[in-house]
Amino acid sequence: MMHVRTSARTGYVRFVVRRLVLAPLILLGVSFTVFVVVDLSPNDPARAVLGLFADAEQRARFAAEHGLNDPLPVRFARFVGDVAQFRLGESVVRPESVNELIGLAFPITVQLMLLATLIAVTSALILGITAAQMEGRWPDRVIGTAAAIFQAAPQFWVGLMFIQLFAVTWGWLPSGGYAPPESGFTYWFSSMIGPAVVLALPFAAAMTRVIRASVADELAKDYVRTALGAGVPGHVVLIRNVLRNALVTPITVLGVYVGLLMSGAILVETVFNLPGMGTLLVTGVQQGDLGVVRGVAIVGAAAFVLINLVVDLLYLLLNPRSAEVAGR
Amino acid sequence: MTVTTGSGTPWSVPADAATAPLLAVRELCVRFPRRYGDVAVLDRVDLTIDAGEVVAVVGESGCGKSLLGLAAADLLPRSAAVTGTVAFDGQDVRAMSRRERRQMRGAGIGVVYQDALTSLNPGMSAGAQLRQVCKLGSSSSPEELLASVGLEDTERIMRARPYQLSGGQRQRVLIAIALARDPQLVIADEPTTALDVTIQKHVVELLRSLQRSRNFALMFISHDLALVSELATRTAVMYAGQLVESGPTRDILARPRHPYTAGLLESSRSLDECWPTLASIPGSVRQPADFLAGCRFRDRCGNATERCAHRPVLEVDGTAGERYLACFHPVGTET
Ligand SMILES: Nc1ncnc2c1ncn2[C@@H]1O[C@H](COP(=O)(O)OP(=O)(O)O)[C@@H](O)[C@H]1O
Ligand code: SF4
Ligand SMILES: [Mg+2]
Repeated sequence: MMHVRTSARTGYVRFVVRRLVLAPLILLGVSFTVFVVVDLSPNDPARAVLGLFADAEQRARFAAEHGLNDPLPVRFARFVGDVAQFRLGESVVRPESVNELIGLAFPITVQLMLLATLIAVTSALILGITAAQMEGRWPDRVIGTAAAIFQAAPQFWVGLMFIQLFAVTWGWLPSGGYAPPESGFTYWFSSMIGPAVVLALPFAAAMTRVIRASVADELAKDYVRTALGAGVPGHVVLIRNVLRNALVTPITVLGVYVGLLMSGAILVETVFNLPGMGTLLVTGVQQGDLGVVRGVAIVGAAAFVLINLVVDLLYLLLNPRSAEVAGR
Repeated sequence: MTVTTGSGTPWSVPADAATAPLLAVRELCVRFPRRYGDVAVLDRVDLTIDAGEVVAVVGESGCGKSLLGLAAADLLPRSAAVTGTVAFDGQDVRAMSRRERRQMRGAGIGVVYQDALTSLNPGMSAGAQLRQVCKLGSSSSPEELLASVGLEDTERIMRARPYQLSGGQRQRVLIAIALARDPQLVIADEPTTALDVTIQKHVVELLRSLQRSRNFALMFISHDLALVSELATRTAVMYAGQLVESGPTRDILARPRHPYTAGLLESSRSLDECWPTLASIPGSVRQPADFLAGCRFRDRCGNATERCAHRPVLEVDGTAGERYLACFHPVGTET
């Protein structure tokens, strides 16, 4: 017995250490990929900065100044060194540095994703648990159908419909743009709620289905009967006994949806004209602004890896048995 | 315990006529319409248990013993369609209010389930699960309960998750949970099947001593007729969802009347070899979808005749006192 507990603990530690070592390695790999892909793209940063009519000599001087002619490993090492010091370089198109641009865009995307996650998780919990408890009856079927529709509907189209309905037809919300929190909660909220809801919809739909399946599975288990059979009230059994087991799977799946949420954010920000990381990336690509594209990609990848790390640790906390398996 | 015919003859009233039996199951039918259509998986089962009495329910796997136990505490799955009545302490368990039902479950009836591993929550420590039930009202603390079911090192067990315990320890924890609210009736559903032989003995002894010290009524469900002889004063034998024979355990073991009981007994005596199927009865229990009309045992019975295509009714067996039998050609009678 004693050794079971210790081995669980060392398993836990080993798992965490492994993830902590792995995370920077993944980031290094991602950085390299981003670097090479951007490097190989037909965009010529010299031309982007100097304009179409710059002559060859000007471009050569620019290249030499910015070290564009150095061998690839050297340039990559320099890039990594800069990134490690949070120096993401200059925008070749705009006057601001990439750091400044991301500093402006990043909080907006974080707000958008947090709000969307909050909306998605709350509604998925309520709908998923309700459906599971009503398994097979009409509320279950209605919720299941709605979830299937919203999961399949293209987000781009849903976004446009949303704007059409709430901004154009009813005039309840602005059709796009961003109002910072300093401008007042109502302005900020009405600028964020539309994109957040549209971003949340497919996520909420998917989570509802996962939670419904997982809770229904769990409710059918024998231990639920043990608790009910001992006279524990039903709602206590649901909250104290069932949910902790039933939410392990949805939390693991959460990690998968973080990636989808991020790519969804690019789309939704564009549709709602929200100046976040997605918009920054899209304009960066359009303008051939390599520094910006790289910066956004690196920061996005870092956030992705970090969020997944947190989700993994959360999963471990909920399900200590997996630590023993994972640590081996 | 008293047993009656399925056809409305009044069940024999216990000696103390003023008190109703603790548990009275009458004309109980359970169907699973989705799965088996109109087949009665439990078919007109009648069974009563008095306060403090130990009754065994015996039969092969698939005979409906667990369903009977669950029906008694109104714990059948939602897919089950139930007719007939189950009265606990004179009250219909299916007509109870939520509060009455919560009181009946746990404080009235405690259940020791068949599979201790799945019946405990893998995500909660044994202690947390026991504490949760004790909080609803108990004469003992969780630690005292664990000690009373023969568990030492209670501190460690309280903290352990079910998968960190041995099979025997899990079964004891489950017994502790069943006893936590001091129930008047304990339903023990094959509490020893998953355990190895020596531990089986300990658990049976434990149940017997607990029953004596706490004086609860016990419904002991088992597929092993030899095992129940140590425990139960009365025994009911089930086959394919029907009660086929019942009476004082000693009587039944000495002189089984139903061919199925006789076969069970024979195979139980040669059970040292631990045959999974009954050596002395060919075949096995049919799936509910294939239950025969008439006597459901007829395809395996050596005494079967054409008469057996009708359903034999459980009635008082004239040749002996307090015995009930559902068979046209019982063992030990010349026909
Ligand atoms: N939830 C259920 N749905 C459908 N059939 C069931 C269900 N539970 C039990 N049964 C059927 O009822 C019969 C009796 O089961 P059970 O009471 O578990 O038998 P025993 O405990 O005597 O082994 C079996 O044939 C089984 O298939
Ligand atoms: S009724 Fe007929 S078939 Fe059934 S047990 Fe008796 S003799 Fe056998
Ligand atoms: Mg059973």
